[in-house]
Amino acid sequence: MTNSVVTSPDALALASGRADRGLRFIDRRERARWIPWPDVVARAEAVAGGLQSLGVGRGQRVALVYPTTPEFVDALFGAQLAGVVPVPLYPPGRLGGLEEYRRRTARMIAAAGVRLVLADEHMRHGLEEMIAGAEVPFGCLSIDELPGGRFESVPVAAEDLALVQFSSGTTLAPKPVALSHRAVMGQARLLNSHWPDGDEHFQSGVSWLPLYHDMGLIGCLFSALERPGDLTLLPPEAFVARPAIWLRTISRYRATISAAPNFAYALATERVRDDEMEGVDLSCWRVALNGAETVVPDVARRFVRRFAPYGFRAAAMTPVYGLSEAALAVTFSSCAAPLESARFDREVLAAGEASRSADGLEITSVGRPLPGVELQIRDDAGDVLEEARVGRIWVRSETLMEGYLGRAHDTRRVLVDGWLDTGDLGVLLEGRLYLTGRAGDMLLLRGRNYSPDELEQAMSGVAGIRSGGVAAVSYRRETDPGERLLLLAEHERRLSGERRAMLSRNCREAVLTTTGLLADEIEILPPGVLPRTSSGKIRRQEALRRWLEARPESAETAPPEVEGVPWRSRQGVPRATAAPGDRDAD
Amino acid sequence: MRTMSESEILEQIGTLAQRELRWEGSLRPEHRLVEDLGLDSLRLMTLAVAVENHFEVCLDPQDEAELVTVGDLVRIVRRKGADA
Repeated sequence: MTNSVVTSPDALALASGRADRGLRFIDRRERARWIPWPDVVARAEAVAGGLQSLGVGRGQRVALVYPTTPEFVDALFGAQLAGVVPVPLYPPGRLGGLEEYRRRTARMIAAAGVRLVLADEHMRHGLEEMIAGAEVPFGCLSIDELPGGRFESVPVAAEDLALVQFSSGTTLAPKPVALSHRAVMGQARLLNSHWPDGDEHFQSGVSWLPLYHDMGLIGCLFSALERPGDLTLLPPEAFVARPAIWLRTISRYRATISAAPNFAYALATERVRDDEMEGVDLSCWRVALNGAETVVPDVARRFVRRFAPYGFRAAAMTPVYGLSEAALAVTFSSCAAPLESARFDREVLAAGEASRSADGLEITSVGRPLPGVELQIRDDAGDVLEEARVGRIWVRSETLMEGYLGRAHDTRRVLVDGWLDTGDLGVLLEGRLYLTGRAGDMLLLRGRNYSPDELEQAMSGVAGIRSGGVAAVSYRRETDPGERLLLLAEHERRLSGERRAMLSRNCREAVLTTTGLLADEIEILPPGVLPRTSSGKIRRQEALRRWLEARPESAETAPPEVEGVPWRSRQGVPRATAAPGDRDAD
Repeated sequence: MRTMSESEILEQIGTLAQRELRWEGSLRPEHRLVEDLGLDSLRLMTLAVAVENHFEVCLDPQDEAELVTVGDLVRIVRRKGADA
């Protein structure tokens, strides 16, 4: 382990000598473009020089709006070389929804105090108008529009900010997670030390994960830089449109490490056809990281079974736990052992204790804390709980965030005496961590956190819905392959049956247009039935508990093998044939 | 791509939706992608890529800015196809 690499510019300096390693970009047609590390560094220096001539100051923030392209990497490392802090933001979605996208992006730009937006040529449309009203002094530019200028190297210290990322989809009040170089490179080093090169293989990665998300950015890109190693990058939409591309790419480039959230393993299991797998050999894949959402044991096992004939090793499946406030990973299960899980007595677990039971609830082990990471389970008062007791997960490590940028109050709530309150609930058993839920009401869907507030705000705007009488919650029953989104809403008094019949559909629409999330279930309730606190706030978890209780899982509604993948038309989604005629009189 | 009529394009988008999104109903020009068809962000992405690959066109956010209905998508594909 070398301690001379403490900042991203240090790592880039080392990487510039490795012409034999680099980044490979694959497009949707599976064409490859290889950029060795010395070129990555030269391209970044050109951007750094441009930022310097433009006058972007050290420590100032630059937002990056890019798909997975070499230009994203140029802008990212270029900013860091110039001592400027990159803020990767997600690019617009496809086929419309731009208005909502602009509103969200504007909030994030404001929250991070961005001075310049660097954007992909094709994505600038609309961004320029959007930031015209915001205070972004340098405006929106593409890399090509930066002024020319020789890069003058600047000192960058370990405690300087390396990047700001928006972890959760809390777009009403986005929280920018500020990470130092020490945290980012320390995290990359931790990961790399977990999968050292073997005698016969040199680790290399494949990733389709978005680069504005910690798992793709820090887990894949920065760990490749720290190594420095080979990384093959695919655009997320290539995976989503055709999951087989992910597996084919791993096989083609003999990659050893690739990560994805639970839903992606489910999607690949369901959608990849045998004829797309011709000649694919996954025996090279040693570490299949599975994190960023609940690791459902059945989903992981089905993936293993489905792809074992193509050489996929059961031991490769590696459930992990982390969060962007910790720069990514907190615990890792063994890279050399198959998925481990345990069954816990449901009632004892609900009472706050883990007790094994042969026919209990199965929970995947997400492994042990990484070296240098301390983990405690505490009660709500902050007292450390003994093993086998369920509580809040607190972590301490060198890779924790500095805080939420410009939000001291929010920071103080989660960072206490050097410890981070993750907001997740879990239990330690024989040194392994099992996740049991979230302390808060955050919705964890498709690897991202969403605040229920924004979904509820959208529902409250629906005519006929009682403002403040709404709740958005997610849940997963044992047979569900992933988290499900449930919307509960009270209708107003004195509403005609006809109007009432439209409410479910309108709530679904409102949430879908503002967040891009499709609800799995919507329940319209009479006014006043949702449980409230004495101050009138909806008690979401209690509402969920009652809803689940009133709807026991029956054999008929239990989902078939691979239900729950977000494509399938499901309950609550009207068929197209029912759509146009019954549109509300609006 | 030879110039296709709007109804041909609509029919082929219907086939894509069936195959890629498991769409079970009919597809009509007045259907709004999000509100009527209930496409979430992942499904929109899937449809966009499927349409681009099938018609060999490249949609960019500028085209997509005003895109609301299936009919809008058909017209954009037709225009892009004619440009190609």
